[in-house]
Amino acid sequence: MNIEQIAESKKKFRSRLARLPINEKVALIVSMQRRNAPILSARGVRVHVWQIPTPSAADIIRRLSKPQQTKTSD
Amino acid sequence: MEATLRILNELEQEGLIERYALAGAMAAMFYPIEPVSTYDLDVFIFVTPKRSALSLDPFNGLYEELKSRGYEWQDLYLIIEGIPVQFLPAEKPHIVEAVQTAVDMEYKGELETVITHVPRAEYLMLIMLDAGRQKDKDRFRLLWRADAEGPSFLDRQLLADLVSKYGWQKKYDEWIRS
Repeated sequence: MNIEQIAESKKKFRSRLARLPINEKVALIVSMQRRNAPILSARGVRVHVWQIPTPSAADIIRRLSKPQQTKTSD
Repeated sequence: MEATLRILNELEQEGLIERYALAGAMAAMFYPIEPVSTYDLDVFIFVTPKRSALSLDPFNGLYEELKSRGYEWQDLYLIIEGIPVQFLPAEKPHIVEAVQTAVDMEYKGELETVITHVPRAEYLMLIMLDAGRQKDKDRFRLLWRADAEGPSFLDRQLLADLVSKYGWQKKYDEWIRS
């Protein structure tokens, strides 16, 4: 993959993220919160990670990444 | 999330809030932009006058009700069904308009589907121009770019009219160029 293809691939991925249903976007936000909380805490910033039921962020990312992986393996 | 939105709807139905609309990053998420990091749910509200007349704090009745339901404060936020919520008074004229003209949108959650009020994207962008922080500019640019690249959802004439009406032309020109 050259740099243009990588840039195009990232653009497509962001576009797929933007079209997710709102509850799946929230799942990704909560996943970001979980990852960021320890870093922020170490800096003295206390954040409350949302305690809510959400779909699996890993499954969402896996699903979004799938068409790209299929294309690459062709 | 749907449980938090349901509580907001209940507060409105019970008359503790005259009208609410989501704000900040969560409101923007209802439009086709990628998820952005956020830690709270901002909510613009009109407080019902009869409920606030006896208190110096217009939110007092609302806070008392939420406290009686078992929701607790953490720093500046009330934790409602697992999410830190910050209530913001809808006072500035453009925010009043944003709340009045907010549209009903569906949140299909894991447990239930809830209808919630979300400001039109043009008003969200106006509020971002007013707030003027880097994160507001970033979100403004995401909405602008999403409208340009995908199916259009922005009424650009309305946005231009609002920008002109509220006097943010210079910042608007700068943000759409950058």
